[in-house]
Amino acid sequence: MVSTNRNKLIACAVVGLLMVLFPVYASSPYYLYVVTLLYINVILAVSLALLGRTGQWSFAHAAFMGIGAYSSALLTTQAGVSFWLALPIAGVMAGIVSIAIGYPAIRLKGTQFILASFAFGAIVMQIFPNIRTDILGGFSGMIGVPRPSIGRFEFNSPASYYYLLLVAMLFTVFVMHRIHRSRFGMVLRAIGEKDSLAESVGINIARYRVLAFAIGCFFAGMAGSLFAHFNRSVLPTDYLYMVSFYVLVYVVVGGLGTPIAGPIIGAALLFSLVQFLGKLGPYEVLGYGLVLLVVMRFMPRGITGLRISRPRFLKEKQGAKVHAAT
Amino acid sequence: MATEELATRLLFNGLVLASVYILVAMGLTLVYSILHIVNFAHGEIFMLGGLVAYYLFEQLHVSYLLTLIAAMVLVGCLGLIMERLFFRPLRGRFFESLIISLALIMVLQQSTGVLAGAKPKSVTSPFPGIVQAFGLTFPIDKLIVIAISIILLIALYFFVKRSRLGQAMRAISLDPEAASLQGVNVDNVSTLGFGVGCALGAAAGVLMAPILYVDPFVGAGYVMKAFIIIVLGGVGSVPGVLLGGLLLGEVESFAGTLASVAVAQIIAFGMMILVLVFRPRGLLGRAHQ
Repeated sequence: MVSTNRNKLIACAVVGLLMVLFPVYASSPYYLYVVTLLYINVILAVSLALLGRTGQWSFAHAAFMGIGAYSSALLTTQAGVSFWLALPIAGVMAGIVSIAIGYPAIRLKGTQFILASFAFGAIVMQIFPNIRTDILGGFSGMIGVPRPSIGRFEFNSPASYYYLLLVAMLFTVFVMHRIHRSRFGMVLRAIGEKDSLAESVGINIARYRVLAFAIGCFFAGMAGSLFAHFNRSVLPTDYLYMVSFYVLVYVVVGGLGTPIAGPIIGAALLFSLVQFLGKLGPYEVLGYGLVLLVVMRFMPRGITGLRISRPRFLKEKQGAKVHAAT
Repeated sequence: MATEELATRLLFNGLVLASVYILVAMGLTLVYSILHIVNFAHGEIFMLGGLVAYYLFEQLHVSYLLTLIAAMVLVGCLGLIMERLFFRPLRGRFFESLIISLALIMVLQQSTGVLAGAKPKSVTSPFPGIVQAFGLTFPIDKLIVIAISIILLIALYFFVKRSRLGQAMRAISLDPEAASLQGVNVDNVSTLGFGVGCALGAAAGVLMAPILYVDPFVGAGYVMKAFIIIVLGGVGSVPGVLLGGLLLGEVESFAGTLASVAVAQIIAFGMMILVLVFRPRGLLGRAHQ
């Protein structure tokens, strides 16, 4: 027991060291850029996994990311607000809007909720490019979104933003870890597994669902802000349902059973896969679709859900040994 | 344009839109209402129907009727294979089926693009010409599409209500275990039902190909609209599809022209959310579960 804990600790330390030193040994700024994006996707994935824990999967996660992105961009470019304040406010905006759909939609079953969330996301992403195009930039979006700064120091270099995102990602994962370990997290899991049973035990499903949804969307909003300031721009096409789909895929392929390890593994693997598939040129999306098809068909429980068992012939041999001993 | 002319024109366009959505939704309603599978890839089934129309009718000059039948058979069989390979193992797990249907979208769209080319292709209308009425001109092919969608809707209604396969499917949708106790082969009926749904989707594609165009991505926009009208009308209800289709078609036609396309989209999705939240069974759906 002690050794497994120690092994885990060592593994964490090694990974941690690799992450912290990454800008040092990364062979090009491109890889720094890619991994920074990966961290954003991890934030999206674990926050989606949180709100999906109760069984209500959202197809609007990217739209909430968009809400955060636009809010943060507007606050920093139009209202002179500092990034460090705009970031949490962006999350809060996304969280508040999420209640507008989360609350009316609590009683919706899985398939219905997905459709409702899709519709909601579609509505949100129709609104942004079509109102106040003088400020919001219409379909071209907003530009000139500033990088954050502390005093004189601006987070301009790829490495600086990488560290910012590393901290943000670790913070998010830590918060998620605490949430899922808490009583709140246990209740979420109970609701997700059998909501009727949870209700019969007296759990107010509505409140937990809305809260989980709001928290999940809060982090999506912050991810949006981080993304916008990373790109120094807000493009409405970056927050469409395809992105929501990709995040859903991270979570499913990673494994629905584990709300933190699953999404992280899924995001890491699939995001890297996309980078690799980029080399296939026009066949990139086809490759992705095929991989996804195969994975969903043969590993529907995802990677963390795989049951790896010893091959049969080994098992029998062991049995024979036992018999021989007696 | 005088107001009555405009109104008539918008009304007609709404009918055409309604027919398109209804045609696409007919196959989808079988699959979603009865087999409870969210198959987002139905739009690609529709697209493949159009593709068959292009190759058989447009290129090889096969008769339109024969093309229609061929598309239904070919794509229907593809549907059988899809259900057997991908959806049956995931039965009961809607979320995983949803993801796999999205993967199917990617594969179908992209392989079509690779094999058939991504440039939009046009199919000449088998029913050219116009008709004059109420002082306006109406294209004959659109009138025929409206007529055929009504006919197919009626046929679908009786299929679901009276035919053995339709009844078996309804039994499965209510209670698969009880259905199998009654002698229904749940596996086969599910596969067949899915195949029929895809055949209908392909038929829609053939009918719409001359009016729209054929390219790998033509079907993507219609799937969501089809889900909207199924939700509006009521999951499981064929008359509901008619009502939902008319509602959405007319709303989009008027809002799209008088306001903007964005407004029309917002209203369309807004209606779906309102129905889901306040009357989840839809306007004509039965309250069950």
